[in-house]
Amino acid sequence: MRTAIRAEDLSKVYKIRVRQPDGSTTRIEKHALRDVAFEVSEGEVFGIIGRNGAGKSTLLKILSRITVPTRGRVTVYGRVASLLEVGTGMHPEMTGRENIFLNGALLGMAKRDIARQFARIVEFAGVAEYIDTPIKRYSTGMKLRLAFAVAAHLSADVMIVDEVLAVGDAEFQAKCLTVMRDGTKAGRTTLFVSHNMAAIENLCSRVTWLDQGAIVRTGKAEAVVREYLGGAISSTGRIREFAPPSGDGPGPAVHFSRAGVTGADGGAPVQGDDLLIRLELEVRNQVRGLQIQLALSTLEGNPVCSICNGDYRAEWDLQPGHYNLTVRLSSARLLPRTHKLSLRSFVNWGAEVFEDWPDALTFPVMGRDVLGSGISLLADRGVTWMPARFDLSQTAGQ
Amino acid sequence: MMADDAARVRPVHVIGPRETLGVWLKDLWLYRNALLSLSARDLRGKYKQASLGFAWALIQPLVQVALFTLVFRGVAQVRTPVPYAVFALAALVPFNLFQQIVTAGTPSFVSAQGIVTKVYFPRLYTVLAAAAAPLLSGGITLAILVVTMVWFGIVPSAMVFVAIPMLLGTFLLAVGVASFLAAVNARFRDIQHALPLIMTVFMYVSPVLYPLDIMPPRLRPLALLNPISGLVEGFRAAVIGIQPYSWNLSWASLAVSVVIFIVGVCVFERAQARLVDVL
Repeated sequence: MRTAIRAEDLSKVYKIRVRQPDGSTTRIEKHALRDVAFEVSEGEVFGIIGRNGAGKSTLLKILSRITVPTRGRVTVYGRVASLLEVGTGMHPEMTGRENIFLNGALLGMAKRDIARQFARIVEFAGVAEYIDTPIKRYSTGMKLRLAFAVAAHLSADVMIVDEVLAVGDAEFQAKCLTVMRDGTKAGRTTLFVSHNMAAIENLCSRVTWLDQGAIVRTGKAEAVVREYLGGAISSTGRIREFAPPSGDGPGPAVHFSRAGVTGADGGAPVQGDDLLIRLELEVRNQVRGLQIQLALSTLEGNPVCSICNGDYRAEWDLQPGHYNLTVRLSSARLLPRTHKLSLRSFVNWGAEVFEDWPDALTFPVMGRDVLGSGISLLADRGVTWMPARFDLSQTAGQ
Repeated sequence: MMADDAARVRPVHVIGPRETLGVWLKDLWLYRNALLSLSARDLRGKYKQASLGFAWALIQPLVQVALFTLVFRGVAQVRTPVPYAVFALAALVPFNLFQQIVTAGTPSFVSAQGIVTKVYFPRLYTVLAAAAAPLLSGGITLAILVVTMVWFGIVPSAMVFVAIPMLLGTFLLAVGVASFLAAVNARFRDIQHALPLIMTVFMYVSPVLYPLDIMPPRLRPLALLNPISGLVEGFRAAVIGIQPYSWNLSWASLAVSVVIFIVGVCVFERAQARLVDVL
């Protein structure tokens, strides 16, 4: 298998001016990339994952020649097409047709190549009737489709894709995936950066995980993604410590001292997997019929669901002491978004409330290819998702 | 679309901290379509929303010449070897080209930050694309000059072909200055504010609106310090056939222009790689 990309000891140092409290400025060096080395074979779909600020964008910018490395080098075999930001240079006053040629030219296409692909680009974008309308009249979706269509029809050996699939509707997502797959079949190498682990696992054969500018691990997609999701918990703070109740008086009889949300394996919560909510309780006075209510909502405050041990007629009678409570939500059908967890402790359905923590903590749920179809169910679907079966049968008659 | 990809020979490209001259030149050629498209975009953007559109490229030099003729011939009574309108137009062709390219080219790299931080193409093309509109308007001014010369029955000198290297020199000088200033402007935006003022000063201290020989001898070195003087005088002498004309100044200006072009482009190229990170 021939090599498509070889990165050797790649480093990028940004010099940043920092203003000191005394008014003087000093220059500090920030390593955006540190001795990054990897090799991508021809025809491979290679994923790059990592948190924001891990150096993914810098790496892509170097590969697409927008910025130069401070040290090291990358050897690229073949022509590179970069989709870092689709629609670059498109001019609102110009028509769809003119913008296809403009955008194609900026992406390094020859005029006759664009002309040859023109009909396919228009068809792919689905803007045929508006092709001679200035794109300022286009909807955001149309502009995006047009831009991606141009980029998707570049004749390149290496394609760099960043988060394009995060936008657009399901139909468009599916089209994009098809284009990427077709490209791979034809031997095109793809570098794919995304926060969508579903898309990464689905499309990539190998993945490299960047953290603070350095490679943590490079390997098979599933293994690296799993490890990444497991490791992501510690750094994103999905655990909350509650201060002990202060002030005068005896304080509540039951106190939440700690709350945390994880996936089944202790890593980040993943769409469709079990979700574990771990609580630590401090019971100060004997309590009979304790009920704990956990409510999930979206970041915007739309309720998703509410869970209470009272619903199961499983109230607790507790002696003073410290307790660990684990609540497992089986195959939690959450969508990839940030959720809020609210906590309440009370007896007798709220007749006496001990503690009430609206928005006790927030936690993200990672997306996954839950349907196994390559179509991601994203947060625009609602507050939850349901697995469905489709039975279609032809009826008798005409 | 994929089948022909596989058959192609893969070019090998090494991305490192420094780029070689060979790669730079090759990219200028490979991305030529980007230059054309950027230029077209610039032209369209400039005139599309104006109802008179490209007519503005005609109106501007006509008004300029009318005004200068009124002031310098009518009021100041400057004596020129040919009708004043021809005299002024012959200088405005190169001078406007220079002035417009520098004015449009200086902020071009900063204005293109939305593009240069997203895709790769030779960055010099941001400056060169800004020269498209000045070249178009220069062509129109040249056409007006020709029409005016025919009207007044002025026959060009035998040296008329020298006008071509003079215009070429003007273009190189302007691109060199614009590239240099574009790099400086990315750090210090003062440049783009000071520029219109500097250009006005330049026009009045150069022999554009008056012949060099009416300038007091003491002040003459001032006019000769800027290479645009020699180019303007040279172009005018070549086109309207002022005899005798000493060409030494013009050839020297041409040589200086080529040097400034090379220096300006080199400064720009050295600076742009770092500037992309700070835009």
